[in-house]
Amino acid sequence: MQFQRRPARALKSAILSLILPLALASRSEASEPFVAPIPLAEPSAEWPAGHALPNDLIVPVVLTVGADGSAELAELEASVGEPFDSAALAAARALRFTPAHDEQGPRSAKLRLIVRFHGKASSATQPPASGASANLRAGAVSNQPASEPSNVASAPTSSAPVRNQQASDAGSTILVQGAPARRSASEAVLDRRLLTLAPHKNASELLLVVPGVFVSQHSGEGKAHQIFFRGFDAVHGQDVEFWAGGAPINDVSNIHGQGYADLHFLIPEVVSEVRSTPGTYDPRQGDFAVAGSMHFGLGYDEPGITAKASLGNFGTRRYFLGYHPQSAPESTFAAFELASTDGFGPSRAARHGSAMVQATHELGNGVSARLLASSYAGRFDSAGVLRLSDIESGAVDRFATYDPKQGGHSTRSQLVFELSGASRARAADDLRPKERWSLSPFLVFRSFELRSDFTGTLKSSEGDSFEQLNDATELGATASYQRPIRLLSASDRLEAGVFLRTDQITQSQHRLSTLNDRVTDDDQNPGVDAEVRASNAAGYVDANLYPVKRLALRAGLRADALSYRTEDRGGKSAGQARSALGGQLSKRGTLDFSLLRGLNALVSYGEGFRSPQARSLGSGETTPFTRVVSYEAGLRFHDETRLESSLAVYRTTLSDDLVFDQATARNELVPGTSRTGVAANLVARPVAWFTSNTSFTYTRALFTASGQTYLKGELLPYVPQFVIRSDIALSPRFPDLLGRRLKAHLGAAFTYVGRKPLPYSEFGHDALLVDARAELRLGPVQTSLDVFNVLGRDWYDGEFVFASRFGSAASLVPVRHVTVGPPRTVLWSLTLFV
Amino acid sequence: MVSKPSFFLATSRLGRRSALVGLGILGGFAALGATALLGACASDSTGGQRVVLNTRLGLSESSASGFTTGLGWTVTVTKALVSTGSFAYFDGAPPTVQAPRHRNWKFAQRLLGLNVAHAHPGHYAAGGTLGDMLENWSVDLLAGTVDLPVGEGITGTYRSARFSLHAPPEGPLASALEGHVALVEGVAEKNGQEPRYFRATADEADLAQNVKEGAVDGCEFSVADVQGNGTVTVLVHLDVWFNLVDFSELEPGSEEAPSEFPSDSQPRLAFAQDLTQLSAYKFSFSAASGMKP
Repeated sequence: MQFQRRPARALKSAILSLILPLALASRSEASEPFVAPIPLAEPSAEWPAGHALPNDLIVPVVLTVGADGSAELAELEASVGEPFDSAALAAARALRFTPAHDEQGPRSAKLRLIVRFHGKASSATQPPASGASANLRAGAVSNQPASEPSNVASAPTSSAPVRNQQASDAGSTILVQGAPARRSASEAVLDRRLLTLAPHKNASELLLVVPGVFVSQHSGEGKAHQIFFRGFDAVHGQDVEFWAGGAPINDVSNIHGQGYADLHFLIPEVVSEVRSTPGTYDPRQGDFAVAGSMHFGLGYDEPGITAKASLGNFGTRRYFLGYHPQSAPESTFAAFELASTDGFGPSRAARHGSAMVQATHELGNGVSARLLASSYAGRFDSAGVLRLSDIESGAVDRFATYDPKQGGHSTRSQLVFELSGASRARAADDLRPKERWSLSPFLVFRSFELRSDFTGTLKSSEGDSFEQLNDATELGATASYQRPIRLLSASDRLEAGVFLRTDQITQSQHRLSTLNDRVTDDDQNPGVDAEVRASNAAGYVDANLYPVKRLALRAGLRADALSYRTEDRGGKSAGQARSALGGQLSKRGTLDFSLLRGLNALVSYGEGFRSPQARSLGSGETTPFTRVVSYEAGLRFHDETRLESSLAVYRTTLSDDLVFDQATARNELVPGTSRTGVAANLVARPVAWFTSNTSFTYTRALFTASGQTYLKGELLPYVPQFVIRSDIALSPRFPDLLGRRLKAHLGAAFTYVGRKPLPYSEFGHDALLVDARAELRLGPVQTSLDVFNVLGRDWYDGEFVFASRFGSAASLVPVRHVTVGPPRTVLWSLTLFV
Repeated sequence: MVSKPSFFLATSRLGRRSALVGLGILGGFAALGATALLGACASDSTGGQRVVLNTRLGLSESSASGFTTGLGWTVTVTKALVSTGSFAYFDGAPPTVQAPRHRNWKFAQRLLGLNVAHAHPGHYAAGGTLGDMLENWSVDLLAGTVDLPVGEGITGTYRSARFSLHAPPEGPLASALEGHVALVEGVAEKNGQEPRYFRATADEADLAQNVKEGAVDGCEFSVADVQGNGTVTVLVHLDVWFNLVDFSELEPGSEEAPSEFPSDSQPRLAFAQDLTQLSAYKFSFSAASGMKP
């Protein structure tokens, strides 16, 4: 027994010796994280006399729950007008709770609460017991004690979206949610409110709201966006790990690019949040998490049925149908989308359809289940690149195309199932979960087809157009188990998790004649026909420790094993097979120190990796990972619901990197690189009718070693140094009109991307874009007008330097090629809520 | 425990919080400044740059004042016009450059009398294009070194070049070329033989028997590490143009009425072939003043 205890004691001593000076310096008291209040009773509000409405009405309230479990103070988070405000506050004050508590006992705490008055129409079919219900969410507010400065770094919750408790009956739902513990100062969770301040054309563009992210769509409205994130040109996803609804999105060894992440299957209306995890600080982050990870949470919060039709210029049409049962949480929904456009120039037509359904259900005994199914198909044309000199000289129209045969097709169908559970202690008054577990298998079918032409007739007199096919079946699962462990405090928790994934991939690439589409592969361009089996098995442990007051230590280890087997099916190497396997151990940790109530300082360290393209590996090769090391230090501040901000300095180094090469017109291996930068984010909601979300990111990406093309100290090309984004919205409430609720929304987004280095010491064009939305809703009818690129700026969403031969006398010196960004685009929508 | 008045708590808390927020903002600016400083200390370049390449064409010294051909004719040129197309410069080594060989192997080669087989141009890998001049032009080679239109390029190591003999001629001497890609007049002399006053011409069709689209691909570029603007000079070795021409096949002609190279005659075929010889053209680079070559 002593043998077992000594290491723990030694570890405890070591950690204490590390953090004691900090703790002493802060002269703070010992404390533990707390458990959020848990509602005991249903609200009993009625519609104000004579004011019952046919539709539902929601009133957001911030509630202070006292140490005795009573509602001490109820404040409106956003006014909907009298007499509903008063009725909602009265309903909130009537709630009773099991109080929040920590190791020292019950404490007061604040909660964000939604009081819902059920519409008369819906009441007719499903009458609520009391006419109103309350939804409680522990967001930024809920995990903070109300009466004293916060003395915890952050609540020890799971990293996945967590429901601490859910209870439901006919007509009312009470839901308490906890936010995962932050892994870095710049980590951001963007909820639906922030995601919808300004318009977005698709789910990919929701990422524009994420601090440090810029996305562009350089090859048609259906090809995965190119993603830039904190000094990384992640191309189509090679450096950003994407998850949605519990399934990974990045394609392993996609023929078009490693980590290709096509987000078009996501219907933007059902994205309830985007969680950005920059760096590699969380042990749950796996393959492709080089610049960071993005998690899309799914849900639809509009009760009943929503039907929306949109009409825009360039022949744009979009139809959306969604529903969310009133008796179920927003995670239960179904949605369908059908969209088409002629495009803003030749070879830019696109159309796609997507359907997503998700249901959650409590199985009892603390076990819940979630099932997600979705299917998507899209077809798109692509105008491809133009030589900048041709545009500037007027030789071609800026919206022209050299090769009208470009375009592609993409499908994704998936099934995700999740079982999760939490057990509690037997003592009636101890509501702290003792254990949590989850198991979530997923099955994804992907197909991808793309025809591109970047170089004209540079390599073949019949044209360099090439076609890529990639079909993949992806099977995998995530699982985790979390339990309390008394290591440094009674609130310490330990989590273990497992990730497994295997992909069966069939892929090909062939050069096609632009004259008659025949295959023109030759010795110089032999083409690809291959079968790839890629497997990733990973395990992690993650500890949330609270060694002294104000300080949280989150540290973990992750081990990955990746194996690849490739078999060539065509050309001279047909029949040849090769396999490779490699392992990677990554250490990750975060120190989270609470300086004052709402103000935390975080220091993060993480190791990660970038996996290789399967076809690039030789037989028996120990999979050569690119080693990634990230550091970040920063401050986070949040003041109740009105202000949230972060400021961080970060650095990421890579042992080697991939950069678009001007000679080969594809990504090639280059020496090690680094990204050093600063990121700032400010979310402000000073009054109920105004919200702003502004972020500023500056990154300097450099080579840290010399190679054939680049020297140490030179700038990494293609990654913008400045990304600035500001979303601002006014949401005024007006007096009721014709007995219907009248509300408006005016939002605008400003995006600036600047100082993008290009080869030969040049810089690309900066871009300043403004998008705007005007929305008016009267009862069940809503109309909105979205305008993208309001200023009508001529801009380029892609700039690349390489040699091409479009036309007979063109220079073969690498020159700048561009893809033209969309001009001013208008979309008018009419929505009915039934 | 004595509790402080709530307003005092609120005030002090607000003050501390404001101070910390202010501190945080100041820290942010400091971080930004530090990052900018870090950036200022480092290079602000992605490596390399675009360069302006002046292009000049002239006669090699060896052929400026007459030369002797491989068949023993001493040639004096009185007129030499050529029509040029695009010029392009590459980082790939020209086919005439041998791969480095071990000294012992060279000795053994000499000892055994083994000759080196040069790869034919089909094995030439031009590599990346580093610079070019795309305008068609026409030049009087006897007028000294002539400036052609300005070309463009990028920094790098220039090792080989390609240029084309272009038809129909363009530029200042287009009409003087009378539609030919090359026109040379002069006199060839050889002991014991009557001098031959000649007028050699080559058309696109003549070149087509040897090269595609008049392109002379794989010319030697005196290895140059180009790091800035400068001038690419092309020296034409007229002696190579006539190296295999058997002037004895020609009528003597006269200074006023030089003898033409008849169609399908040895002189015409040889002249057309010699026009496309890689050794007839030598490319070099000289940096603009103040630039390191």
